[in-house]
Amino acid sequence: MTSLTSITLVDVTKTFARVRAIDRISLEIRDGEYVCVLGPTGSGKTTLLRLIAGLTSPTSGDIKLDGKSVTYVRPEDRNAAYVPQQYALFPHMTVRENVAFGPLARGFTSEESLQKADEILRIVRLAHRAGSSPHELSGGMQQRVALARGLAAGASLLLLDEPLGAIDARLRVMLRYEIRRLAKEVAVTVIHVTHDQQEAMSIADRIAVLREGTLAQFGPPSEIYTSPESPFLANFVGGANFLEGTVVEKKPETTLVEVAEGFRIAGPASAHLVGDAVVASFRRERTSILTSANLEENVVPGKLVSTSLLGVFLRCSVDLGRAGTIVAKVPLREAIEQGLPDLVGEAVCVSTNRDAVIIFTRPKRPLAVELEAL
Amino acid sequence: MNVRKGFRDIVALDNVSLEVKDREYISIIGPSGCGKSTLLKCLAGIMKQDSGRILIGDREVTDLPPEQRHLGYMFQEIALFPQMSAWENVGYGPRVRGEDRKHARQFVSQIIEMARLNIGRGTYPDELSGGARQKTALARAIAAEPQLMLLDEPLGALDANVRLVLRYELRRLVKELGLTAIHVTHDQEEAMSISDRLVIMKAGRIVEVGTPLELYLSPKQLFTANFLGEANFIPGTVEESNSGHIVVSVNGWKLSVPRSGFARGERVVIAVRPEMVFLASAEHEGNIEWTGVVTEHVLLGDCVRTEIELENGARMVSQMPNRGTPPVKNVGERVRIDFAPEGLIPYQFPAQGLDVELALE
Repeated sequence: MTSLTSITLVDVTKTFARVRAIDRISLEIRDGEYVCVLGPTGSGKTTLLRLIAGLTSPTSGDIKLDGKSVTYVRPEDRNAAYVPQQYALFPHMTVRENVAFGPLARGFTSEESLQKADEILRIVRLAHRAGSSPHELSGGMQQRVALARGLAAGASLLLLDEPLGAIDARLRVMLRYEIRRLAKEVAVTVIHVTHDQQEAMSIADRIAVLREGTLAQFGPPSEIYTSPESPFLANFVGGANFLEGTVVEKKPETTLVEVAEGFRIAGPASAHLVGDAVVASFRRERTSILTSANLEENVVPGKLVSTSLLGVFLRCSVDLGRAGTIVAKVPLREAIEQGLPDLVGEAVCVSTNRDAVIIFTRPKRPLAVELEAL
Repeated sequence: MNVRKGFRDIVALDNVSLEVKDREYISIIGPSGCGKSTLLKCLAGIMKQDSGRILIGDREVTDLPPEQRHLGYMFQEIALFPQMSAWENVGYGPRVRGEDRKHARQFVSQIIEMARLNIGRGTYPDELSGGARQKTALARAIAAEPQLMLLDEPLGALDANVRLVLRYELRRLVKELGLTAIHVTHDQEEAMSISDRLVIMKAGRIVEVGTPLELYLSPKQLFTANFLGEANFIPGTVEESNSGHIVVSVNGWKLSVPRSGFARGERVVIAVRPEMVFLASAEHEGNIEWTGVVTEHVLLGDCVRTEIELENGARMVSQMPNRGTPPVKNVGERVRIDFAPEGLIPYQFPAQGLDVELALE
């Protein structure tokens, strides 16, 4: 674990049998950064990781590590450790020997290698299982051994493909913070591929969202959440309500969107013009339910269709008639105070804040297709 | 419908008794290896229990082979017949039962419509997305008109966002058709969001059964408090015991807890969910003089998550709903924490230690 590594992709394209798995991606990852590559199945995440690892070569474009082109450099000379989704630990070796394998292969003496292994196993909190066989460990522990093996190889760049994919949900939440802590502790650059937006939001310095082989957005989690560049991004990262409509009026600080006859949503000032076809979007957690209200701006009557418990939030589904159904995520404490679980089937109002509304240009393809995580 | 079952002398399932009501949607959750899938396999008749009885309705099925139990069974690994179209797959059950062709056709198209499966008659399984394949498998299981649906990680192989959408579809379908469903999952949120009741399992035993709200808000067992949603754990000793509230001493700091049933001097551990932990600046006068330093502050999207290291060395996690203007705290900033009193849930300190009691692996 010497210096950290920065990564630069310049206009990288990878084509498989005429299908563009990666389509002209350019991005720069700083040294020591923890980047999550997020996207639905088939968006090109794993291909991107394998390109950086050198396990496959780009059809065109250039890949640089620390400013030097590595496009034609063999994987083992890239100073990167790739941990695939189906990591294979050596079954006949102990945990300690598995971890020591990398340093040994790099020419360290066996004593040095084992010493390194012990050090890394302490960091991943598995020192007490050093003598076990991999099959005696739980899935979460095996994952940590695979990670330790990647780290022990001394690479300054760690490429993780769905590192928590095979692990139970509850444990996954705990381990994701562990992985980040670890990466920061040993000071490596990490690219972590995942399809779980919550995972990416909680541990990434920056998130690269992929869709159909292209880079949809690249930025800090808070930026992607607060300023998504498309309805797809708003839906894929964080989820939201979407209402299609037309801009009908513009005031200095307000844009009014008619989403059904006589039903308007007020959003903040925007570059859209009166008559533009748009999508008004607002986060479910910025949507509240009112049991009694005056019909003022962005307060709309509807019927509470169902409630379901998410934990911190109660998810409330409200039928707005012609305008469709929207979902409000109400903090559980407030939902209980309001008595919402007992109001299913009753008339309620939903409301959102004008500043919570994001107005997008209506996408060319139908909204349902645009939002779909392909 | 009553499903009762009991097992003895086996490691995987240790004397499990459970009654599922007619038309109920039940989820069984627990860490890997807790026995949840074994339980489902015994119900299905794929695995034979060593002892105990299983009844479906008033019919004893203990010794019946799977095909005579009138069950629908759906796994994580979907096994659609690849040489049949999606429609033919769904129609397999009615066809095998020897139903009238015209009636079967009508029935199948009705099920496909209910499942909101927007696919043509000539579409084959390998042409479908993962989500659509899973819906087809569900439609096929439903078309066989089972008395009881067994769902073993039915959404396990799908992307997180697809799972989110499909789980509500799953419940809707089961409810619209008036089926009884038992759903095994490792995903707590999935289970909470769609079930009438939850069964929490650990090491072959049932830890607790209850509605999602009951188990989330007032878990009777410490294990449930940790497994279902996140929680902070504060060990301490009861210093005062009054009717309606106790005072717990935690490293010399005091905590007033509005619950009773604990004796003076008793060792306890208090569970408190991150959304019940509030932050104020260190100067703010709170009820409880608990101060510490922010070690991490992250916007998760719908929530803002803050980690605090208290002066006594304990770590505390606070998670507040994101209201658009997240309370910005800086790492290193001193803060005071306060608790929602109803969120403090005391438990007897576990004899085998906290780590062992809460272990997930």
